[in-house]
Amino acid sequence: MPVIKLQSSDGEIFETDIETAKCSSTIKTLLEDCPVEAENDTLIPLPNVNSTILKKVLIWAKHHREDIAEENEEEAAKSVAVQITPWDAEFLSMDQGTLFELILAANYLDIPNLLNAACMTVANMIKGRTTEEIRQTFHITNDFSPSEEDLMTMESEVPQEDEAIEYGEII
Amino acid sequence: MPKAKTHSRSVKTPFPVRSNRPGGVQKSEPSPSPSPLCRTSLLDLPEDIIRLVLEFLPRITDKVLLACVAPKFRAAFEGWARVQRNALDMVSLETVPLPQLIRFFKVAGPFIRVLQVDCASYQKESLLVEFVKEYCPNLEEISYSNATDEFHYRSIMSKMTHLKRVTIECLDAEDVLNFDMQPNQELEFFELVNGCYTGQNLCGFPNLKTLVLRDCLLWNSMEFGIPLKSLHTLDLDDCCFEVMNVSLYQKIAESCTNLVELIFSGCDTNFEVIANLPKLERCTLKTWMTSNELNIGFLTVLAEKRGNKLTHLHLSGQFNITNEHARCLGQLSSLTDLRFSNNDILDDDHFKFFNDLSQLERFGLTACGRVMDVGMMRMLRKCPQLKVIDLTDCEQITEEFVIQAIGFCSKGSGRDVVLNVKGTMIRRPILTHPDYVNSLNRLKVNFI
Repeated sequence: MPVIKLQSSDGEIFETDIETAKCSSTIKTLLEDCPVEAENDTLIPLPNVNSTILKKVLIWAKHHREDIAEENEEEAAKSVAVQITPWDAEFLSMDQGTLFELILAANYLDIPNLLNAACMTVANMIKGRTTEEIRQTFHITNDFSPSEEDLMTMESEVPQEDEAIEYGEII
Repeated sequence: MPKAKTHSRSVKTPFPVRSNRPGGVQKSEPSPSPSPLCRTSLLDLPEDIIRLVLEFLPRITDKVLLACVAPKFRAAFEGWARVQRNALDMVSLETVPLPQLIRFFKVAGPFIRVLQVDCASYQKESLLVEFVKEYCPNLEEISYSNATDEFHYRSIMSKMTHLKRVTIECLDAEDVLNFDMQPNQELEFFELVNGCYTGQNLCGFPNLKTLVLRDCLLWNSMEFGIPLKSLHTLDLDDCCFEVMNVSLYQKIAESCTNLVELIFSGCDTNFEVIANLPKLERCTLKTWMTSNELNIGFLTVLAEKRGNKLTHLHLSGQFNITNEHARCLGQLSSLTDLRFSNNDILDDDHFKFFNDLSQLERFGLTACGRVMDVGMMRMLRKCPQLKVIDLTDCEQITEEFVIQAIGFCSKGSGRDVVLNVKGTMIRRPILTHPDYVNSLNRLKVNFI
């Protein structure tokens, strides 16, 4: 099976088979757009993906190579009803920074299934939490301006439950 | 896995990449990481990816909580919400504390198009009504369930101005429901199920196109108070008329000049005036209460006009079909779709009269227990355009019909026909019959 070389942003080179690499539509398009005589000798620079993340992407791609090959393109185009497999759940249990880098890489490399699984993992970290808890979970400082914050939470202008207006019969 | 650098051909990476993403996510341009150490935060994700995360939060309340975390997420939420037909189930707000409730409506209110209201949960009725009025100016549809005589949350309708669709499903409303939708002059669709109705609440809606009243008690005393002229669809299904009189049929016939679809339970005396509706294309008639009369005058008038514009006719229930009825039905040459369901009176002999159904493409029989293979072959021969025959639960149909039909379709007529045979005597082994697997076979059998 032909092998291609992928170069990460920090200069590290990874060899992988073409089928695995083609799970990235970006790489697939590159290979189609720039035909090369000696496919085995192709080097593709990926300036937006560092070696740590590229390594993880390739691990994921190798594991999912079969389902990507089988996947009907029409199906892929539909917005996917994503279910995270136990393997993916294990694979995606990483520190937040790495997970977000992986999302950016999956987006740049155009790997919809990885992007969906990673985004769903983030969604699961958000689900059921209050705004303040989300801020704490993701170490986000509240950067709404006071006026924006007021706009969202001004309570004084709304009647409290016990003094809420009651409506009689509507004629 | 990492390899030493080698001299090799290099493919120049296009930057930025601009291909369309599945699920509507456009390609983003993340800035390159200077080192393998990951310091990226949720805030560094581009807006299109935040929108994708929003897609995976099933409840709109969770989406709003994320939107309130930072301005970037608020913008992403608004971008996402703008292109959705967002529905809000009021029950989900019953337990939300007041500050979050205010925040929810301020952020999400402008984007809510559909409201689902369970009238049995009304702990915060007056508060929620006020919030909907204040913050949901773009509400287009309300769906009420479990409405009772008190009809909780009804006042939302009088406070809205752009409602297009209203559905009210009653739990047990014995008194006439009291509501006011008057400000909503754009109303297009109204449905009432299992309720009590006078028509007074539906006067003066120039755009009302669809009126559905199911299992309702109708007080048709003086005026059937509906703007009938604009209606395209009228569904009076299993309704009991408190004052049943000729004027209802007459009023529909005279006033519903734009009616395209009629669904009606009962087809008895005086129903013939309905045949004069000039634009009627689809008609479903059901037997009603104890009456299984199929008004022969109605069919006669239609037959004289060769069906006029009628393309779909569905007769549901034990209509007492005679040869005279069959003769009239057979002259409705405008029909493309004819269906009978739950009728044990219809039999093969009736199809002898179906001589002029030259446009018929679909013929449906559901639970018509007396129809047999002979009758179905008769239909196939008499209707040159017939493409789909639905025989669901017609217990007398056998594999003999399939074999004969294969022969007929592959010979002179040369047309493709689909048979739906669930609930007949036809079994799956027919799919391996030599005639069926023959390359000349134009017939497809479905067991779904």
